[in-house]
Amino acid sequence: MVRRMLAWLFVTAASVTAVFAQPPQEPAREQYVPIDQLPPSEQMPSAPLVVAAYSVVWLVAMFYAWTIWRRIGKVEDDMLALARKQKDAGR
Amino acid sequence: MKKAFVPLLIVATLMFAYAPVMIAQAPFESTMFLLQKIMYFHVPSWFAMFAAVAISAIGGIWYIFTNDKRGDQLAVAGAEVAVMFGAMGLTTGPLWAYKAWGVAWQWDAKLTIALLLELTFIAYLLLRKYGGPGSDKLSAGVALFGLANVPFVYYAVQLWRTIHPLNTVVPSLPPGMREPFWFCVFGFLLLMTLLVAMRARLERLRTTLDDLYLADDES
Amino acid sequence: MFLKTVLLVVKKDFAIEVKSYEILSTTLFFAVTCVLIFSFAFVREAEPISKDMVPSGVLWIAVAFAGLLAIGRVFERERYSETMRALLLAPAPRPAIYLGKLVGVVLLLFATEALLVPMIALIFQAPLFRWAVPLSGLLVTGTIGFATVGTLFAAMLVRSRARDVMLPILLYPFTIPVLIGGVWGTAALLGDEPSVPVATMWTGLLAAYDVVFVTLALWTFEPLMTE
Repeated sequence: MVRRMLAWLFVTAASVTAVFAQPPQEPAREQYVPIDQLPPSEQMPSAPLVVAAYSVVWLVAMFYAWTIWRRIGKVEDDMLALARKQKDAGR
Repeated sequence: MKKAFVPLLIVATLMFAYAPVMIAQAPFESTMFLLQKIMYFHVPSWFAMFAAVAISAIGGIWYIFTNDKRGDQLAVAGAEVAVMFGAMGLTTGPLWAYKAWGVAWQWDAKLTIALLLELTFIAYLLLRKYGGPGSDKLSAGVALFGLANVPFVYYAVQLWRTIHPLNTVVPSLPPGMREPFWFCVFGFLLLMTLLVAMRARLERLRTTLDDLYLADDES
Repeated sequence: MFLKTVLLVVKKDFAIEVKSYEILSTTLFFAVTCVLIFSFAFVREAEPISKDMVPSGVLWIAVAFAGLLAIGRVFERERYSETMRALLLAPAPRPAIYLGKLVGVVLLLFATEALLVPMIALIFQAPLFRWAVPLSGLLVTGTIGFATVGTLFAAMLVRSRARDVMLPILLYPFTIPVLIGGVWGTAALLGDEPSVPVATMWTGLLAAYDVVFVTLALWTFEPLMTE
């Protein structure tokens, strides 16, 4: 269940990136050549990308930690159920 | 590890909470300005992934040659965490490249290896999930072979022109950028260790549960 | 009645699939690896390759697909007659068993290639025979590299469930270097300015791959095949 959700998340994230990546706005730059002056218009569009990158990292990490925590809870529940069953049978 | 887990978790949370402050104060890079700040999370996520891959391969070797279940638990945990950090790197990377290179993807040595390692470890997880009996040994082999494959892919793809910044960029970071960078690397590695520990604990619990079920069936 | 049956069968299949997503996830993964394989065979520097390099991509993709089929069938036969178990029970050194299977697969693939190469040369009018020696060097090292990993994984998958879908999933990501080496080595021989040194360089890479993976396979076959 959790793995499935993880897989879906991954696939969705990948497809979203791919869709956004479709029309290249500017020709590919080959290396970063230091340019002292860049028009301010160049600076603005990168903000959403930076925000997106950081939020992806945060969300993925927290989601993954949550899935592990949930799976541990499930296994512990099973163990308790088994112990209870054994206790009942022993009586 | 058990005693240190909660304090370390708090440390990791605090580090991740403080990281944006440090990153915001770091100087702007001359060509990419704000965009370059993706680096502080992009590069550390790859560091963490390679560390997790190494953990998985070591756990795999340990398991193949000693038949010790703990090695297998470590290998699974490492593989899953590696896929997770790889997914982070593979989303932040194209977001950066989209603006910096104009294209989101290039068949360049580093990008190809990253994708291939990610695919190798997704295959590892698929094998664990659907492989059935005997797949634990085979998956250990997959982790080991996956690691051995890296230099070949790297060399093979070198003929494609590399536009990814070289590794030498890292030690040459100017002061002001260096501190937040290493702060983030340390934070990611800590997070990676904690996640592997958590995941290995889950696997250990599952083994215990299976043993309990077996014992229950026999009695 | 007819439509109702159709609907019921579809519903049944989906109900099973939704429980594990086994087929969807494995086929999706296989599709992604196929994208990778075709990208390496037919794309260079984000541009489609020139016309005279198409035969090399076709040749190596054919080798990869045929190799997968051959390796899968060779071990399927072993499984049907339970001979793999008998072989492993015999007091013989395990690496010898592995090497025997590997040589068998390689010879089978050589036989296939002996027919495949003239066919591709004919269909695409490619001058494949002009450089017979470097080309056969590439084919020999590439085939061995492909079969090394394939034989090891297939041997271990004999016991496993879902072996028919797991083999391509595991094999293709690992043999990407073989594919790149083979395709670009062959392409170097076919272009407007054929270059034997470039092909030799790729043969060297493939030979190194063979040595490393045969060693690794011999080293790990014994512990991996012990239950």
